[in-house]
Amino acid sequence: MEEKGCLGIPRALMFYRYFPFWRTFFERLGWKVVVSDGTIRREKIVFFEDSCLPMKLLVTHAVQLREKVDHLFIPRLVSIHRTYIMCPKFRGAPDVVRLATEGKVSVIDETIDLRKGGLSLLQSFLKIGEKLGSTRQEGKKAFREAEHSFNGFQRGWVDRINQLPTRHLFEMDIPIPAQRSRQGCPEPYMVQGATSSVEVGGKEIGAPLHVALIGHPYNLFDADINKDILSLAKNLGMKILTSDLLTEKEIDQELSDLSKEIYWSSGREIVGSLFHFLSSGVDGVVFLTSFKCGIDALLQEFIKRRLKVRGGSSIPLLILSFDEHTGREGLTTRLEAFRDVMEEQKRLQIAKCKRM
Amino acid sequence: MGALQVLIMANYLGIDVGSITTKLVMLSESGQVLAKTYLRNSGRPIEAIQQGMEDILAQLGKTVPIDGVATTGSARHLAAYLVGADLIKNEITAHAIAVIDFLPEAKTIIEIGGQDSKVIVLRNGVVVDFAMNTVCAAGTGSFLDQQAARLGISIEAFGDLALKANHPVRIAGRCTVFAETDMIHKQQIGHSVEDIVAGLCDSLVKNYLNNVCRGKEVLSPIVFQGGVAANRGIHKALEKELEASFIIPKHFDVMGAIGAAKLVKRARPSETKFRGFDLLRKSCSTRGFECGECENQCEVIELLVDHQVVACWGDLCERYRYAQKG
Amino acid sequence: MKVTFPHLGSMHIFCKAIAETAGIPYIVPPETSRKTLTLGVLHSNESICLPFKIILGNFIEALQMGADTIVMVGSGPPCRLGLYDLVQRVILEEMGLHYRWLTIPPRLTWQAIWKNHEETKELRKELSAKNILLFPYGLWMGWKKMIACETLEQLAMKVRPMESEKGETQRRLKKALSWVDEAKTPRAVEEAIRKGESLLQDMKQDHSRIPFKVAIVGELYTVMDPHINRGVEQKLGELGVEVTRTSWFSTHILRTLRKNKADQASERVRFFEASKAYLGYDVGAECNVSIGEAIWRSKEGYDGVVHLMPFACMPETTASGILNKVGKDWDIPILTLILDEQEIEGRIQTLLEAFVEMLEWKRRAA
Repeated sequence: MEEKGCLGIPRALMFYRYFPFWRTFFERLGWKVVVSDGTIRREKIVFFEDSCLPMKLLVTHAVQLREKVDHLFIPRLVSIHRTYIMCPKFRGAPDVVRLATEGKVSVIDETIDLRKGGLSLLQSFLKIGEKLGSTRQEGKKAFREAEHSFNGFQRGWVDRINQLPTRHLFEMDIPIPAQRSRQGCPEPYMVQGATSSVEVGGKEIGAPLHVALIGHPYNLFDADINKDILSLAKNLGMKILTSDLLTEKEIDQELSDLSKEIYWSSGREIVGSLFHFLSSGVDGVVFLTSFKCGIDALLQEFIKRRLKVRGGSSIPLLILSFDEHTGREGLTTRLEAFRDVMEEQKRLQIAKCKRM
Repeated sequence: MGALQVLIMANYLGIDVGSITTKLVMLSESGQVLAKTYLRNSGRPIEAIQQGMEDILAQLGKTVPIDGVATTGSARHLAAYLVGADLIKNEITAHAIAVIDFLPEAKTIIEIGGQDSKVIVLRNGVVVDFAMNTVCAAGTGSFLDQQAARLGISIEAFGDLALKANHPVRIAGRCTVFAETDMIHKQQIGHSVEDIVAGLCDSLVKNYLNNVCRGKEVLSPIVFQGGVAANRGIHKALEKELEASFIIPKHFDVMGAIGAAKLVKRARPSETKFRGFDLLRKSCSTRGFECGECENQCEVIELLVDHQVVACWGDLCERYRYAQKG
Repeated sequence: MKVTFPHLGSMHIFCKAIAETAGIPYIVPPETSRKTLTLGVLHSNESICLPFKIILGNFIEALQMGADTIVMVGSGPPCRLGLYDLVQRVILEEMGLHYRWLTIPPRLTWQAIWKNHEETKELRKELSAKNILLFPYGLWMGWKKMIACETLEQLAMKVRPMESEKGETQRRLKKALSWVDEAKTPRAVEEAIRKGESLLQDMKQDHSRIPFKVAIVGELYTVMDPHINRGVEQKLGELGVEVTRTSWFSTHILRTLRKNKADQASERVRFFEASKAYLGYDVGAECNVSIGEAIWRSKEGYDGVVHLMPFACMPETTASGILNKVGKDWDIPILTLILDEQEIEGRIQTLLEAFVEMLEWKRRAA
């Protein structure tokens, strides 16, 4: 099909979850999808507003793309769940981008609000398609293909994280390499099994540590935010798990006794999966937060206190906060120390089991 | 000639007491700087003001009649109570006034001081916008002071050292604690002191631009002033970042005091409230106590000159201030 | 049972009135002080907003004084305010402070009323029939006192720029509010308003001044509580500015009850509509209204706008970026003050003085 033009997607925020969907949708409609470059140098960050780093990066990436594309895709993500909502800053994101790019590029800012019902996602994308000059028929077809491609992508996600370098995570065309060695990490996700498999005592040396990384997807996968903690962790012999592995039910279970419902979907995912992993036999949990992120700041206090009230956890928890000033060196030190703590814990656990 | 001029013309004294330094300027009727002094107050602003007056007297060679006194800076009220000021003005306006007379076509003033950094936007000789750091001191002079002290370098040598850098390192500058950790790390992995110093300058500049200048229109001509303007490392880093060259006034370090003096000159007080140069021989001190009258537990401060309470502040309910007036 | 509630502007006056009239024992937390803030800061982190820290400090102080029941207005999404209670509860629990928590629902839905019913089940056992019977009357007294406080505060905002002696209005307002606080009957409240009004009006005034008109916009707590905003309203007034704000308890309560007077309701709608030129969606809290109000104040000939927000506030961060542009487009000076726990009172004074100075220059140039 002949290409209609260039559609730009900033490598920021929910790009780090939905890019496969977005890309397939726009490509099927005949657009060339252009993504901004990663690894932004700290000096080049655009300070349009005094927001959290992820938001500043959205503006930076959008400004970078504005001359190169016909349209910028910045959906207004009000809600991506049938009940819960996104951070309020997402609601103003397209407007902030529009001001920061000084109206030099058209911004496709269709509202996505899944609270409106099951078909609202399709409706939103059909509207986007219409804005780009496609018929509803074409839109529907592209949407279905996008869904299909997204689901396929999701299935291989944990393997992608563990086997591809961070910058290739969302390069859909790069396949997951054939598993070199599966020792110690049978797929699918084996966390439940881990506690009962202590008898494999021989595994303790060289066996990977299973670490759950918790946080907003952009904090987890954007190397500009977290200084590529994924590769640091992998180099230290950690196998990474994320909340993508959990079902909504598993997450909700951990939240059933709260005095008030957490209404941000990302916040629920963070708190729910964090407590799930802490009680499920992983070796450690790392919570990645952005400085000035309102949700992270509040929930971080909640998590710490709730853990204390419950008498703590035997699984080590590390909370890391990132902003544009964070250096990679300090991060390495902390991760190394965390690995030592995890190994010590593991040794204690195994010793305890052997005694029994 | 100089002494004669001092005698026959009106003289105005401008005093700028900031958090780190104290600046005094004696201005003639024609707007000429007759004497100026710039000193660190080391946490003792009263002594610094007295010392400053002594310096001014020494430069003039004799006591001169004063026609008006104005104070500015974060300790402007304390200074005003102490010397008896005719005018108290905030330092943003004072800096702007000084520049408008010096360079009427200026469009931006960058002022980096001890704990305050400002940007003032001027259009057609009038302030149209400004900003000052509120919650963070990372883009101010005290940041440099602390880091210089940690490196064992005098703050004066700091800027020139930065110019010798080949490859400035990146230093995290959100707060001084971060910067220190980062700096130590860079030292340990073998970066040269010059590169680290240049990195600190870059870090300060970025913090200043991001925290203070965010969203402000920084157009040329740009006037750069404040104590930090003498630091060539910062100067160069700022010019590079803004892609512009700056104008640094001759009296860049005392512009606030000049502005204050100009303002009182304009106001032309019929009779000055100035306590006179005798003040520097008097015993001046402050005395603080915690008031226990209500839950506020205000820390009330009394200013004593010659063992007499001359002013009082810090009481939210103003009970002491009131008693003072009555 | 001893009820307590956080401080917010003059809220303690009418919360106290409700409890007092209904005969329910209560403890008013000590006035927000440095100590309150220190306590709040100690038990939270740097990216949590200032109102959270201050309210938490109020609760800790009140519980230490012997209160055992916290009453707090709930709020909804999307901003953090709606989850304050979730987090404050665990923090207090972890500190070993014991209490019960009662949320006043932000919206009157059946679900909320049911939840409230559940929450108050235990509490009601401790209340006497007299308490329950008198409760509606208590609410009425509270409402009257709230209106009284607001009437006096609005009058003070009007006369403050005219005062001949600096600080006189504040002293008189404080006295007038204490009369409202002491009043025990609806009649006494009416009397307090009347007396207070004449106290403020009889003050020596300089009518030759032409005050500047400035609107304060922004996040609710920072706009409404002088402890949080370090007395911005008073400081501006004493610099010769007639201050206006649209955030009052009565307007917000009536809005949630959907009982606003037509003009108040339409004012908010008007602001909201105006913000659409810059913001395509309701970001939440006061974000859109802050932007819309700035635009309208420019149209109405106001001299400037002061925008208040807590450090790291989610909706107002978006607003502050956009307000920068609004100020340029509409040629109205806008000063954004970001408030946090630091000792920044002197800085705020300096910024406000320079702001008023700038308005003077603008007026002279015109």
